[in-house]
Amino acid sequence: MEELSCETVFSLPVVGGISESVVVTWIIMAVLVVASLLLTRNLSVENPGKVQLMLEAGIGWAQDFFEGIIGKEAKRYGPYLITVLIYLAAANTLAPLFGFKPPTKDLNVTAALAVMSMCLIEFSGIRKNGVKHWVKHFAEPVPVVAPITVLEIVIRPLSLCMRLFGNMLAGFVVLELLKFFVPLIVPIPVSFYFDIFDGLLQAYVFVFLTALFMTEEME
Amino acid sequence: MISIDLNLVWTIINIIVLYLLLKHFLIGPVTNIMDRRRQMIEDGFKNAQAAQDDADRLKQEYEAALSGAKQESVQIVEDARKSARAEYDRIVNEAGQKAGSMIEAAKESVRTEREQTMKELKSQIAGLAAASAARIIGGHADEKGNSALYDQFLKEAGEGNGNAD
Amino acid sequence: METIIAIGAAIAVLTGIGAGVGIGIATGKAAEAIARQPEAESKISKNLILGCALAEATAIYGFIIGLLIIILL
Repeated sequence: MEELSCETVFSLPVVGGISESVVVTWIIMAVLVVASLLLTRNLSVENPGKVQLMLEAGIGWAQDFFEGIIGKEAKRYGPYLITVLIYLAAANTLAPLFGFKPPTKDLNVTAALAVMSMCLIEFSGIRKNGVKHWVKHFAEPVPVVAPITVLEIVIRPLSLCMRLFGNMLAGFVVLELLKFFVPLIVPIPVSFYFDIFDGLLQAYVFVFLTALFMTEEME
Repeated sequence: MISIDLNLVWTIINIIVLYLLLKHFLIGPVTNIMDRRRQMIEDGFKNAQAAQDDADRLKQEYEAALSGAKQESVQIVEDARKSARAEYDRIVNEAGQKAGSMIEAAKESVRTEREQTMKELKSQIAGLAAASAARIIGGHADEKGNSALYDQFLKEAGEGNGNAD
Repeated sequence: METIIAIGAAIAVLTGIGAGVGIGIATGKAAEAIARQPEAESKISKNLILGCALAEATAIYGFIIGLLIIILL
């Protein structure tokens, strides 16, 4: 039970406790920023190096991916979605591999991501079609479904949040149990499945679904 | 673990900050580089197309100039030939005319000379005839004298003829 | 009381059955579709992942309810 809880690392006088997940997020942010600074240090147009090619392939793949889902608006929302993808991938895979608890195991983190996604989804709809259309589209196709479509605003991010949280927590719990019973060798392949494969898959699914909901909202 | 507290707000701030940082340090530069490369490739294509067009245009111009020069040279040769022929004709004509006029003049002068000579001869002959007639009438009417007179007359006439030719 | 809570949590986790069956059917159909049209594999697997993520959500909800029952009660 002790492993499951998120400890409070330290407390600030006014704002209260800073939990472990926030600290790990800070570390991940620092690592990501330093890594991107190092990787983008000497970019060149004419003769890109191996690192730059990999970087470009990755970013290009992500941009194509979001453009395939969202369409023309991908230029505006692409960077945020790519950021979330990178952050989730790092949080789900790198953190456990280096001995941290994955921050996505904390409901606060996934809830924060879901709130951001909710804002983004609704914002994209309003920006594309205007407030009037956004209000009207709740009553489509028939006005009777209006309560359900209004509820959908909350349900979609809740589903996103809970999916990510539940998956990571379940993987974490299974790994902890396994480590408790068989501390040697055996957790390694299981860790590969739960941390790397499942972590990347969940990061992919999270941004994929966010982009899909945005497309739905922009119709 | 399953409790929402202020950490949610911190996480939201974290994510926004991370978004700004990554947008500035990772996605921005890489996208910029990719765009620039795309731009460069498009420019390269455009330049190549322009160069190709330029070369085609130059070639066409060159060919046109070449065929023009050929025509011109033919024209020049033709003109030269024509003018040479005209000159030749003119010269020949002139020469012919000059020769004709010279011959004419020579003939004229010969004719006038002859006429003059004839006139002189006539007058001499008339003088001689008159002189001989006067001698015959005035002098000795003998055989000897007559024959000497004839001889003299003929001699003078012959001399006159020889002079005239 | 402890026993009843444990039984309640176990029942909540039974939602996993539905998710398992659903994902199994979806994956089987996807495999059939790929066998029929191998060139559409990328699109099919994208949809498969989406469907699996959505179907999995029910199992996750069950798991979370179970956790809530254990922790909060």
